[in-house]
Amino acid sequence: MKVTDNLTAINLSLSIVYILLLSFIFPELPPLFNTLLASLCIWNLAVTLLKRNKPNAILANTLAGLSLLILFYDVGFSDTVTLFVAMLILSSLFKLLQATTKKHYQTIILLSFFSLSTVYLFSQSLFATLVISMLYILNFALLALIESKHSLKIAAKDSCKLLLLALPLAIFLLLLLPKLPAFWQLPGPKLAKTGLSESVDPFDIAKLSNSDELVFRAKFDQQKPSAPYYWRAIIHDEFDGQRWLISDILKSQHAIDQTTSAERGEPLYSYQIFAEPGAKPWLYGLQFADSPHQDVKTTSNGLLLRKRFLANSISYTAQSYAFSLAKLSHSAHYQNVQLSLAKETNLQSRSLAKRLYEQHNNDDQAFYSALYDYFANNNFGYTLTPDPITGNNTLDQFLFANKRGFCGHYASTAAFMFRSVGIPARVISGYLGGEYNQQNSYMSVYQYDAHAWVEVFIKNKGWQIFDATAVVSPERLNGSLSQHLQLNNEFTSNLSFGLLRLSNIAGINWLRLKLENLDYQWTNWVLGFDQQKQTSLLKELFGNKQLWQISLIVIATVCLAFICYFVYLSWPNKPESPAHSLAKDYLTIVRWCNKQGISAPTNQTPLQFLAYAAQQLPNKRTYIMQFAQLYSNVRYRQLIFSAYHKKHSKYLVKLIKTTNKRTL
Amino acid sequence: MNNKIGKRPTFWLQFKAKVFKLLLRNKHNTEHLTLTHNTLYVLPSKLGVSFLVVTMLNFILGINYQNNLILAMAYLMLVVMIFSLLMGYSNLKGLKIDYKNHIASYAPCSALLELQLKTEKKCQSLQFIYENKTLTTVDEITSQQQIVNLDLGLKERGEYPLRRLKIISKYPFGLVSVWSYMQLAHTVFVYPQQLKPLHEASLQNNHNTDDGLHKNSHGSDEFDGLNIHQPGMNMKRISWKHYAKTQQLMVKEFVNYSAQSVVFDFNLLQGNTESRLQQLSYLVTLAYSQGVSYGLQLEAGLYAISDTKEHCKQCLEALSRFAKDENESH
Repeated sequence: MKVTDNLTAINLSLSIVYILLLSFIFPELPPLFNTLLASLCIWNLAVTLLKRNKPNAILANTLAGLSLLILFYDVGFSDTVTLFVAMLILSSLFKLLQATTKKHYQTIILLSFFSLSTVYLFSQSLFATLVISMLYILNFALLALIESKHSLKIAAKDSCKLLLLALPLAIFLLLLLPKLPAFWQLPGPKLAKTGLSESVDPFDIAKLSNSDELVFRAKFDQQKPSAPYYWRAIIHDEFDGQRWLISDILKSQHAIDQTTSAERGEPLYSYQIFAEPGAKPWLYGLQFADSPHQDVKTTSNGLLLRKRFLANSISYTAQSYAFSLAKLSHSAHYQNVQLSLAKETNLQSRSLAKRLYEQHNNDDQAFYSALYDYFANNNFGYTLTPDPITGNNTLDQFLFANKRGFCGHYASTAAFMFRSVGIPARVISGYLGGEYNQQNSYMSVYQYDAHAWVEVFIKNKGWQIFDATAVVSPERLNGSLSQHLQLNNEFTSNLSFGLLRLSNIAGINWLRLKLENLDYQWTNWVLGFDQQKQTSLLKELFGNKQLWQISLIVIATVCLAFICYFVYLSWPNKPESPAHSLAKDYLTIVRWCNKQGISAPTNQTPLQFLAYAAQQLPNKRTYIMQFAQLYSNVRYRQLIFSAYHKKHSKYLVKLIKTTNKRTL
Repeated sequence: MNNKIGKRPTFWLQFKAKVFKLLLRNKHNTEHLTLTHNTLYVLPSKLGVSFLVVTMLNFILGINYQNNLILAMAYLMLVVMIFSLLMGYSNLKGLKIDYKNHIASYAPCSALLELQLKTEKKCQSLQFIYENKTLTTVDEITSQQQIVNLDLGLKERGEYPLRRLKIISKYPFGLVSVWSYMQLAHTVFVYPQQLKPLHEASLQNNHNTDDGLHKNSHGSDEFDGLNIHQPGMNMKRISWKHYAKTQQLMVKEFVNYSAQSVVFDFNLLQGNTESRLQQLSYLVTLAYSQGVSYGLQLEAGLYAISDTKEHCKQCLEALSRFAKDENESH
């Protein structure tokens, strides 16, 4: 059962499959374990390329045991999905290190069929899909290679052909076979992604501006509203002296919203959001948002939350309503003014707030405008790289000493000042703005668009946005951070390397936008194709048929396709056409002559026939005789049939045919 | 593999044989087998079953995480599986397998079976399995006719009625087994290994059946006649007398009339049963190649004196068939 032929090719390809697979999974695994897996891959490669012996069973098993310990220690049991995937890859790599027989290799290839699928749990980008599909083809080629002694190239070509044939059927099934609902609640993989944090420390959001990862795209149903776009994601209603947190009371209120649509009035806008996978369940909406999507939960504060499948892209429709003007309940009022955890801190800010409030006759609305004026007139500056501030009175230091900061600083300070005079206020984190795509009229929001601002509850007006950035750096409100001229240098130097960093170059920016568009289509059509979209598609195609009827029709169609393929396979082969291309050319001439009404008596040699034809068609005599000469030279005198001869023969055939047309 | 079968209870084997007989219904007892829909059997191989399990796992993964890409992969794998069922079947369909010959051998070489394969299209990855051993793998049959010599893997002396030969292909991915059987009614023989007897004298036993009619040419005892000298003949045998008279080189021919025919007797040889049979195998083969007439005396009976090819074959087959001594075998 030993495989000897192709062994190098099989080993090499499997090593490559696992190296590429690893390159997609490594952000999810801890560095030590990544190093271990990478060194196993390199070991496999080295064994193949340097033609060394595979390690013996005792050594390999001992190492496997040790690696398993490292796996448990390093990856841990908290994230079962990642643990499972890591274990799968580890075992496949060790198996590959020891594999000698056909059966071993077949087992590894089977395992990698599963491992390749698990990559999609973590990444579903177009690029990942293309690479993983290539690896699928390679995997099938390897299966074929184990069975036969072809070269890898032929095997890859054959399996590519087969997969291309199978792909339309698979897509057909995916589109039309009614999707089953998830039958078990499986734990989702925890993604190691940057994103909004549940606690706002003035330094945290600055970190996000390093990342140019897409967060979501939004497409408005009607004309898009005018800027600014404050995409709310998280409400922070508790200040502990350093950070703004989500209070336990608020967390417990994340139950489903009970207000009826009648209470909310007409929606201001409705739009569709294509959200990328995230580490946290928070989704995005404008103002008081609500979504009918079955996997999206709406909280009583108008926030959207994802119920499950955090690692998938999700597309949902949402409506935005104006905030209710009704008075805050007693407990909500208390929750939004209390500063019980930060009693003795930032006294200077407190006294400033109290002074301003008294100056404006204790009027909430006047204080609101006065605070804006304060930030506008006291030389505050906006920067992406603020100086670090430490100590207990960070807000005081910022307000009176540094005066340069990022949105987090302004939001923290302003909310604190509102609360210290008894006006309900809370910090909201989310995203501001977005890059508008003219061609498909959607808006892309990236991690560097992360923003924090304040919502203030003013009597008779409801919740109002207070964003000091608006007066400190008004340009920031109108678009994405990437379009901010003043901060452009600071922004690009802050960014990790990517196409965006080079977006000043016209060609690269064009390429970036094209890729962006492609990715939008991919997310929209492929990843966003969920059960709801399928249901509406099926309704359009089949009308109001029962699900089982549709399934039956789809399966019957696929069976029909299989039958067609089978008929094609067993169709009797056409009679072998003559191998020599000159003979083919001769037959073309014979057929043409027959059409002209020149049919020679049977049992003539080709040369006899050509001579006869030349006699019958005097106007093409020279060409036919030339062909006859060529034919006898090549077929009987065994002269080399060069590419030139081949061309010449084709040319003559063409001439013989066309001259006739002219005479006709 | 052999141990595994040995451990299985016999009633299981009997049951299996019965089931096979019932299912196959003598369709495969032919020397000219054409693989068609009623002689070809298609099932997923062990690998194919595991492949289906992985497909199922992918499907569950795709459903539970509502992941379109994983779901698409699961469907793709299923479609490929069905495609390979169809491809595997049509790969072998139409193949003609004709029995040509079987060739006996001396132990420890194995007996051969010669088959002819005929196909009108390409046929790939063909394996011949005999008694759970893969005999040979034909990678690709492209020519219209191809002769295959199957080394049956029978290394011990004996008489072997041919068992069912399995013809299997796992094309294209090893996911599907497409197979058929060929049951030939022939018996192949593996003759005992040739062993030169230790005491040459003891085995020449003249049975007094000598009537002087059989002569051994190139002998040395009695003058037989003259022949024309051919270049390369021994100079010693030239009749110089004749040359002096006629200037023509003539050669004197002598013959032996002493032992024109022999009978090899099992009981007169030394050694254990196997060793005696091996010596007899040597003697019979040597005698046949030298054209000596011989007979063979075994416990079972006497094989009369002859020097034909048929006789040699019969004698060797008798030696192969000779019952194995239970005490001596390991």
